[in-house]
Amino acid sequence: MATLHLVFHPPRGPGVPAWFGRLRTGDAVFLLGDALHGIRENGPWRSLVPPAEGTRFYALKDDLLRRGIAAPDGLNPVDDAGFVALAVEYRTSVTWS
Amino acid sequence: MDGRRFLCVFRRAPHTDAVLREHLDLTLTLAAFEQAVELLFLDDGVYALLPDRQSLPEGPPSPAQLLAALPFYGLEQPPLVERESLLERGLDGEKLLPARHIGRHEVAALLGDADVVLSL
Amino acid sequence: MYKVLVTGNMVTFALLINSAPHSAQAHAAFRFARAAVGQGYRVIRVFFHGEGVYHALPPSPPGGSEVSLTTRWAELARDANVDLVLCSAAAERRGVWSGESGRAVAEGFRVGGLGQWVEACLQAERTLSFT
Repeated sequence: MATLHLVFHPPRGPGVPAWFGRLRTGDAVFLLGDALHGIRENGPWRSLVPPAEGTRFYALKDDLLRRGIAAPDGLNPVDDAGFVALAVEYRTSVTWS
Repeated sequence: MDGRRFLCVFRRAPHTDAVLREHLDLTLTLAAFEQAVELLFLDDGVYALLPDRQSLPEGPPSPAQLLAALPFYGLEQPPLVERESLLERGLDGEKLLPARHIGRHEVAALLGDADVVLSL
Repeated sequence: MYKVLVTGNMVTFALLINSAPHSAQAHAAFRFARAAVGQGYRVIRVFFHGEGVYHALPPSPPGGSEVSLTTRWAELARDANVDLVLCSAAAERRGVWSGESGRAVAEGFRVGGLGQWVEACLQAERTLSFT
């Protein structure tokens, strides 16, 4: 079964974060709060967001706006209702703070 | 109430506030309700698996002492620990408390197989 | 006001909050619950554990421009019948609550045990951790 990964922490260094290695095909990643700093223009996580297929990435529109971060291709901005819809779609979730 | 498969993930360093103690209490309560529970240590949580060098008469119970209580609550299988988290912290050669070592890709599978994941 | 829609077989949620009120996790949890309820989903219980128990400190007298999460949770709980439960051991350890006759927690919250969280996990179809 696919899992929704809620990521709250900002990057702790260059390279691939540990949670990225724990994704399975079909899982989704929701970047929240300061996790968004990872996908800034030169952020270490920006290249992880697949422009086309693969793991789906999401973030709250407000979180992006507040930080002035433009969503890269492959990152889907959603509102609160979209967050709920994802939690309904994915049977389990795991939090990385 | 039907049974569910719970995965309790410990990912914070054990000596900061009461995190380990409280997450273990939660885990033990699940066991008391006869739920299927796995404990998984990864990221900074792996430090909890270092044995005590010396036992001291004062202070709160050590992580090792807390974990030693698990079998009394029916959690007889040793906890799981992620190999990569140990490597990243230079702990791969250290003597650790009894644990089942698994790889990061296996963690991904465990997450997918659980009904409820409680990570702290 | 949070309108509760009449629902059929909709997914139910249980939320675990382990972070203090000003954290990103705490805000995300509230927004999630508010949106879920607004869409007609049922949030059966929110369990406050660890640092999350600080949500139940009675809010200081009004004056600031920001409405506290404590007050907002209490309103949501009242309007959408959400059970806000605080772990007694965690609350006692942090001085938020002290025994049956001691210090009272904020309106809308009640003190319970870990068993109530387990019960919520078994009842709800989805569990989310804001830890």
